[in-house]
Amino acid sequence: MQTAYARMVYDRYQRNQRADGGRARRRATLAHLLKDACRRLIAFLFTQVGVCGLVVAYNIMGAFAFRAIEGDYGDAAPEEAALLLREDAVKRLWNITARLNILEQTQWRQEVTRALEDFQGDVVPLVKAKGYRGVLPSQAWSFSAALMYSLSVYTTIGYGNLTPRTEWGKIATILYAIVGMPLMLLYMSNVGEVLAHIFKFIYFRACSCDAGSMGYYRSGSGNLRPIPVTARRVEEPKEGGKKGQGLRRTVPITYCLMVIAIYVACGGAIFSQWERWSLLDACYFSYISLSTIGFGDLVPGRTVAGKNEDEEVESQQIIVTVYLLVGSALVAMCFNLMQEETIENLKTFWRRLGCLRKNSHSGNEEGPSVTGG
Amino acid sequence: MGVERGRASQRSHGVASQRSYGTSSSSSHGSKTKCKNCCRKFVSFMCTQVGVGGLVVSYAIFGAFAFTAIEGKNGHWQTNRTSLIHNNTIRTLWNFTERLNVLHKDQWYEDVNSTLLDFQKRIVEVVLDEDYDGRNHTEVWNFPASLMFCLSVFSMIGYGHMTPRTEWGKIATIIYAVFGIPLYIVYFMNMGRVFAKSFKFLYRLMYRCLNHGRGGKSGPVEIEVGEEGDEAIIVPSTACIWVMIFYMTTGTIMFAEWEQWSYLDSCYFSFTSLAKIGIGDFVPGFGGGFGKAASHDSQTKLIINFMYLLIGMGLIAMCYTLMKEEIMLKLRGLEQDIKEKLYICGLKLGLYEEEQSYPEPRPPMHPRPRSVRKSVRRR
Repeated sequence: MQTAYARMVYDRYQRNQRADGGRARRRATLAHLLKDACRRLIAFLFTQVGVCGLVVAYNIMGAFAFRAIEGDYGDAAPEEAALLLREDAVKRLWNITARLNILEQTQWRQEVTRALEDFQGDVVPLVKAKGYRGVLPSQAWSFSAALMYSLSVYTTIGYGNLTPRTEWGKIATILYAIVGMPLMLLYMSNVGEVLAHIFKFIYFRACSCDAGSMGYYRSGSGNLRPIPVTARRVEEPKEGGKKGQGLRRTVPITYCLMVIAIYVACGGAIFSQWERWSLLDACYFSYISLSTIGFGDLVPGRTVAGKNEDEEVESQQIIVTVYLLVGSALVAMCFNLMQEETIENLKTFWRRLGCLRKNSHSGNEEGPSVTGG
Repeated sequence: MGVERGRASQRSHGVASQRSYGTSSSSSHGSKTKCKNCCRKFVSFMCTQVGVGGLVVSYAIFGAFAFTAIEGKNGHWQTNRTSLIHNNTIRTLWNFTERLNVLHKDQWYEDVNSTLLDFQKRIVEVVLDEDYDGRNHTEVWNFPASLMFCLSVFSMIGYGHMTPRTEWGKIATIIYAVFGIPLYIVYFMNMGRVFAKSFKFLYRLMYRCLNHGRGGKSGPVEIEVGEEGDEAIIVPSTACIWVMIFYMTTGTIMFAEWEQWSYLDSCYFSFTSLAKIGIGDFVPGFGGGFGKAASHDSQTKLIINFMYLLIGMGLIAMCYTLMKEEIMLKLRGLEQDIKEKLYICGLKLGLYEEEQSYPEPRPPMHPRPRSVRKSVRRR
């Protein structure tokens, strides 16, 4: 991917080697190793880690912003409406009680039941349509809740357990999403690539396959080094049908899917403990969140009056946020790894069907070795 | 262009070879080859645009039927819960009333108020836990609503206004998503390409019409060797953005009129739906501000919303396809810029050894000297 940069680095490396005038390839002095490491650190910092930090900072900034807009200056109209409804209901009950001189239980019960049903009928639409939750906005929009809300906006999960009521809140949501979604895409592609790299490395090391065809070569000191992208493109074998010969060039899809399944299961186990959900509910929540569907029917620490012990809930929500960020990176890694494998499979599938169309219609980007440009 | 001609000839050659193979086969293989041909044609049709679109729609319809069955018929409100709450509250109230021989208004008010507050909290809990809203399950999970639910699952919007409550419903949702999301992604890419092609065509048409009027070439002079062999014009990214803004405005006006939402709310809804966020506080046909119960109207509205979202996502895919290259180049250029500046900073700070004086930063797509490439290849 980083062709121009790789060229630049290799250029310099080449020039260094030639300037050495035939001395040993690696001067193993401490100073050089340190400088090497420093160089690599800075480059790494400003690609992957930098993006991570940017995403986290954006999230935190969004949390503060939404907390101010919706929490402190929020719209408490549903709560006030609920208060009025309750006062009316109490007055009505008093009238019922005062009216009956002799307290007859059956009649009293009937009238009170009717009054309660009416009250309930008024409260339910408040909850469903106006987002009444029984807590004031300033309590509902705690820092961790706003953090989760911001996360759900820019990762396009969109839970909906906490929704903006003010106009400025809605406008802020739109703007936050417009800036946040490309940032998230950048984060996913960058970190996904790094993780895919690491995973491939571990996989090929672990299964001790022939590293040469995997895009790695052994350097002078015996370490596995990736063949730089430019060279890899030229050297990549054109035939993809080598599966039967035991040479794997890509990580099989099952491993990728297993990683995601394990992650979902872990999340499920943790959340079922915290929230006292069933295991199925917790795994359902993990899966729905990671796939960015995000219904919002099950959300950790959902603020319903009487359900929250504040500090616990706050730390839980922060941990869920981190879980989802890491999970998105893992999903990106799997997409990265599965792309190559899927393309290989599709090509074999097409060929087996006897279709001679090399540019398949299934919408996949094909490598240069096939289309030739 | 030569590549395109090559591809076209390949295609026709391929089809011709298929046909010749078919006709020259012996009668005993006739049925097998016919089968295979049919299969081939079917699969290649399925992988065209119409095929994928049809597949997506039929998957949604299939899902709608499935969820109507699972959640509509088997679901049950825990109506016991609300009646239990009612009974408890009434008993408490009765105890208060009975206990006070002389009815002290203030004391009674206080007690009843706290009881009602408790009652209210429990009702809110029930509503949130179970989506209770006074209707029964088969009314809620009617066909258009289930269709919207399925769409919101596989397009990853996930409104959440209707969610599965039974265990089987949840398992079915997970499985439906596992198969539906890749299908949707394929649809997305396909629609993107189709829309991109037609948009480019329309754009060129418009451009030529306008230019014929002016009698000369003016404006963006980006010429590319196009697919039809004549000079074609690259669609600038701003055009894509205008298309999206126009589409969102259409949606805003449409939903504002139908649902009587404010313009801001409709805009907010259109944006969050198209961006696949799907918060779910506003859903057409489900109120979202007014708590209207489902009416006859709302069924057609749901279907129109469904179509609006499908087409909208196709448009987004189109913009994504058209803008991707440009954005990638710009991002990479930016990255290159930043890295070179960092390197220079590093030099100045003395972090790097300066074996040779590094020349001025090269422009991003500077062609490499061939010698270095050869040496890399040999490695």
